[in-house]
Amino acid sequence: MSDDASPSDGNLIKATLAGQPTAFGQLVLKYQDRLFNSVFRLLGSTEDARDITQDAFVQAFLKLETFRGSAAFYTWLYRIGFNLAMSHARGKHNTQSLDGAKSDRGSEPVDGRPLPEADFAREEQIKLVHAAIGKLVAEYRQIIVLREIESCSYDQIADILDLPIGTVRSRLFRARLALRDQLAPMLADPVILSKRA
Amino acid sequence: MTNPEHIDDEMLSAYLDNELAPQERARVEERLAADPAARQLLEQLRAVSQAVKDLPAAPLGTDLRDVVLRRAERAMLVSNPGESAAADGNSPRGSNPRFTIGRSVRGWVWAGLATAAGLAIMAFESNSDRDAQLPESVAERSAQPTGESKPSPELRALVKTEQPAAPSEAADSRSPETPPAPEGGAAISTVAGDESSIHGARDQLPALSDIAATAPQQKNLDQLQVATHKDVGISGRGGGRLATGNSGIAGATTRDSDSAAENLLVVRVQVRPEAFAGRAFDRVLASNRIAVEEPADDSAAAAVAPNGAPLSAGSSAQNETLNSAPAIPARENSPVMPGTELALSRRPQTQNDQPQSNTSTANPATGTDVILVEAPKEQIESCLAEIHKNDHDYLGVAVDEDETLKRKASTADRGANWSQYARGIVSQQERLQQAADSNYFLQTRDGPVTIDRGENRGANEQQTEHERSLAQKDNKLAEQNGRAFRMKSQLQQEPAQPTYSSNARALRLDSDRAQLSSANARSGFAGIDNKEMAQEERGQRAADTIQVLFVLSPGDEPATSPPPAGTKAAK
Repeated sequence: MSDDASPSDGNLIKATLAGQPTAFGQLVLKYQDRLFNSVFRLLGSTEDARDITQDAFVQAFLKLETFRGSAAFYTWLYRIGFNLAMSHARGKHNTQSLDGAKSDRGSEPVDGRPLPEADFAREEQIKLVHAAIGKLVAEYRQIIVLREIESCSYDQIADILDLPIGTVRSRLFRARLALRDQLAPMLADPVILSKRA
Repeated sequence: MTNPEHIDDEMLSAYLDNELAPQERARVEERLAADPAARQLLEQLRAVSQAVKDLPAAPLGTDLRDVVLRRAERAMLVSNPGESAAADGNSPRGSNPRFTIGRSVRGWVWAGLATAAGLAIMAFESNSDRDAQLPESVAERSAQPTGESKPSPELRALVKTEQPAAPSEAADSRSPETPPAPEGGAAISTVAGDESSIHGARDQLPALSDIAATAPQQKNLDQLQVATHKDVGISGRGGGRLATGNSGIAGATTRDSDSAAENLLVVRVQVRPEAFAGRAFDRVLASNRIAVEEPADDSAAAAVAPNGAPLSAGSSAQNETLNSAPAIPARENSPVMPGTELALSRRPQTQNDQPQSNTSTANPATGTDVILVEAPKEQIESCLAEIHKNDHDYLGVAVDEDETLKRKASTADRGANWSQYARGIVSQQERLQQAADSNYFLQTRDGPVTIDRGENRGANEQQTEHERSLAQKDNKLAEQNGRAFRMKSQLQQEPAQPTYSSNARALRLDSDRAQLSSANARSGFAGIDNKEMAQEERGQRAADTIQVLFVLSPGDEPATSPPPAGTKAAK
């Protein structure tokens, strides 16, 4: 996981523990977008992701004493958020795909600006990829997000998911194959491929 | 069945991620050089990986700082963040960084509120089994005030860990950095420290009395601010530190307790000083079948700290600031930790203090009354509607509801638009205009009820009106239960309480554990001696109740106009 090893995180945590909640607010501001994005890719719902992101920060605040600094703060925070997201997803519907649930939770967040026509294909690609991730089974989706969105190393993934490294490797491979199958039309599109290249 | 070819393909994926050992990598490169299919697969995997990586970051679109901090404070409010080690000289202190609570006066207030709320909720949720155990626990705790390793039944009720077992197992088994799984359902999860979480949590339980005992040690406990509308609950400022033990102070809550906090509605009410002194709000609760129970011994409110400084809570009516103690005489031979009400620490008055005339015993219209009410939504709404309407006695109402409650308002049938009951301080002119209105609006769960009223009624007649209103509501609310805990009170003079027969129970919360437990032992709530009745009421209690923390403070705009006729709540 590519942590922002900001030296100020430790100071902010110390300040929070010393009774300055606003210091924790700075941590929230620093990591909220990143955590939200990851949770959003896990859950597919903007609203759920926002709630889970909030929950993660609240729990992190309440448990901050237990953070001892041997790992980066974001890694610790991410584990909280990831566990919350997975718990939420299990509680909601184990088999509910992101695509299937899209109708009642909104679509991919957009900035609201009208898209230039030239970007339309790109926007379509984003939707396709997002939907494809949503169609993955939960265990594939988790590992794809951890690896591709959060850039976790295999060791970190193994730690977060409590899996052997070999399982991480094989599961990630199968998840990629599943994505490949779903994205085959897009990947075969020379326009998109050329854009990506 | 392991497929060697598949394993080789997996290595392609790992090769893509640069996660292969040098020997493996060399083997893969050898294969790629000789196998076009392998090269094609690698390209496909790379394209897939890149497509996901190319996804733009989803915009959050909001700043979560405020809501996170507010929710965290709410969670503290109903969690168990106390520190019994404050009074336990055997516990090492300050060896670890500690949380906000206890490091400042604000933390003190939160610690007190949170523990009191925790005790209150614990009392709410008492069950017959625990009732049966309580006398024993009271005896145990009487004999073993601190430092015991055996968690009390109350604590066991609070500390619901999925993996309780031995205390040492309660700590995170993976690593100190590994957060517990959220679905664990632990009401209060582990805290860092050498001691076990359960042990630590046990130590946290008697925080109020410990706070009381430690309060005078603080050097700068000069100003505790009652939060204004934008804040949650009570905050404060000033120095001071609650000495902590290894148990830690931030009782880490899981979603269970967090969600409990989310369902807590905080309502701050500015009350006309006379109405505040007369406990008009108690009558609002009473008219809605919610009785507020006082501590068995009111004198216990004047807890005496080791140095003799009286401990009580209150806030200046003018600046919503808790200043030094009123002149409550220290009681000799008082125990160190008698039943203090939510004891906000005080220090002896100094030359720099602001005048304290409005916090003297002679003027009871001071302080801040904190009452935790648990009741069905309809009763809460009725109470809020009443105080919302009565702008003579209730100068301002601020409702702080959590996002969860707001969502309930829009989605769930149990929700309510709580913010509709908020209003600012009503101007004198508006009050006069409203005083001209000859009808009093009474909101019930079935809709508004207009009650004819007359002016110049005598006290007896007003009381009759009050009783008539109670009888009217009986038909609508008879099946509902509501309970209120007075978490603290600065009042020194007890006004006559209306007599009524209520199926609601309440406890004027006394933080003394023995008293609270004793009350629990009787029926779960003092005043109900019939255990069968208490059990029946528990059975009748609506599962979907709402907890509201009413923070009442005297208003800074003393009413000069006559009260609008018929505003019964003030009568």
